[in-house]
Amino acid sequence: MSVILKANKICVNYGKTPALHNVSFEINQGDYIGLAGPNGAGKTTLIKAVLGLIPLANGEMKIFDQPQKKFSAWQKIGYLPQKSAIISTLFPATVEEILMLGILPSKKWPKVIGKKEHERVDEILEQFKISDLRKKMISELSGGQQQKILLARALISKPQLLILDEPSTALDPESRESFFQIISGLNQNNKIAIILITHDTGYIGQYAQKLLYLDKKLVYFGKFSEFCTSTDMGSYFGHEQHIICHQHLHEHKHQN
Amino acid sequence: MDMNNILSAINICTSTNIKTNMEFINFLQYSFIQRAFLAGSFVAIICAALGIFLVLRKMSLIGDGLSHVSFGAIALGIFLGIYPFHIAVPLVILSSYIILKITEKAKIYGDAAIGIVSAVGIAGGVLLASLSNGFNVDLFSYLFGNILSIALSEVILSVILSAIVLIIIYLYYWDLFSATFDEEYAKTTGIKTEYINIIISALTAVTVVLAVKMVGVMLVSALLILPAVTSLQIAKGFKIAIVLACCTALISVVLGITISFFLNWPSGATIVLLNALFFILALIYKKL
Repeated sequence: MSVILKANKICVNYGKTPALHNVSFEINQGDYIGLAGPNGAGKTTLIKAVLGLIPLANGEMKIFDQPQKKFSAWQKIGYLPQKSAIISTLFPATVEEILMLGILPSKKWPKVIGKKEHERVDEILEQFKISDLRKKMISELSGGQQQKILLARALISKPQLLILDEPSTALDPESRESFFQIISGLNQNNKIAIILITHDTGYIGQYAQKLLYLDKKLVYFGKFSEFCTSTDMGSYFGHEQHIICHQHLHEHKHQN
Repeated sequence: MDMNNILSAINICTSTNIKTNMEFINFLQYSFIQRAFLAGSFVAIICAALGIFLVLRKMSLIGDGLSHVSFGAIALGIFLGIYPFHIAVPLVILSSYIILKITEKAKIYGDAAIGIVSAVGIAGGVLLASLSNGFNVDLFSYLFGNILSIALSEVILSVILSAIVLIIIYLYYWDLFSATFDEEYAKTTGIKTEYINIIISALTAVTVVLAVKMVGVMLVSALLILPAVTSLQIAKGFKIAIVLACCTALISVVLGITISFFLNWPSGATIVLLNALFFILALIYKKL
């Protein structure tokens, strides 16, 4: 298994306030990681550091064997940001135009979109069974459909690492189930490594193999099943360990 | 009504039509009208195209702020005896860069940064006007603009600079679109959004200086905002929004120049009011 992401004692500060301290972990091809922790634990900060949106105060990080600062192969990373009010009803973008944004990392300046890119859009729309939405305005779609489009955008460049920031917040239970099935399929069939930020640790435990639990520092990184049987974690989490693991143990869906 | 009356009525109508047609043909032959159409069309198109990005990025008022700076810059040009455009273009570009940097470094909101630079521009202009014994005709003409008085050299400069602005928008179209839709996501796709912000600011600065001659300092922001918000009411796609905004702006300028010539109305105000009329029509169309 090739190493996709390696963090070695990384620290991130907001001004003088530490947001992450001495965090080390390694993510391999085909890993499915649930990234969890309480509010303000540094989950989104860690993702932003991986994506180069905020600088490291200390430590080193390598993405696809390249130092993060020098990393430029952004087409290898698909990113689904946390659903927010970014899709304003005033913004006049079609689904096709939004999907094109995911192709941009593989284009050199001046970025001209041609037949090949349109064919790739056709392909991904077909894959997600949403070809009829191609010319629709994204702002006019439902929350679930928008999330599907943004996931398709994250996957259009055929990434090897997919980062999802609380993807289920805008989804109803039915859409949520189907959304996580798609993600699992990508992980199992295409061996795409996945990092998924979630508050619902119990739910994601049904799908993810590993848990990365943060609380400004690394609390736990390892297999979900071992987390549930770990007495160390039991003493750290108390009753919460049982709550996190309950759903995982009863609805064990992932293959590993 | 007998046949003779009908024929004479037709004759009157025909001769009126011919007279009107002749007037219109003569109107098109005036070189100052041709200059106004040419420069006006180019400036209208770049204002509309850039306006879409500015409105969606909530930077609409940067046009207003920079037009005030251009007033100060033009006053400086007149005070020093330098051709105003030559001093306004670099100074306004510099000011747009300062607005960006104040926003980034001083940790204040963009509208406050625009307010600061805008006030300094106006204050500088008024001070220079006062030092040169009050507002002269030249400086006053830039307050309200008059495209019908545009000189050939200004037309050439407007066309060249507008063409450059359009080429840059074309070359950076996808980066501009991505950074406008979601700046943070754009960064994760390797787009250097800080450069994109500088490009937008610089293009806006050039556009504002060109538009000042057309509609004046007081009305520049309308030319950036109105075609954009008009098209955003009805456009079903980003590229379509840009094309629609450009069409609205172009029609407003051509009609505005024509109306202002025949009715002796101020050209800048006529163009802006036509743009406002299109906005109202778009709102009505959207409600239907």
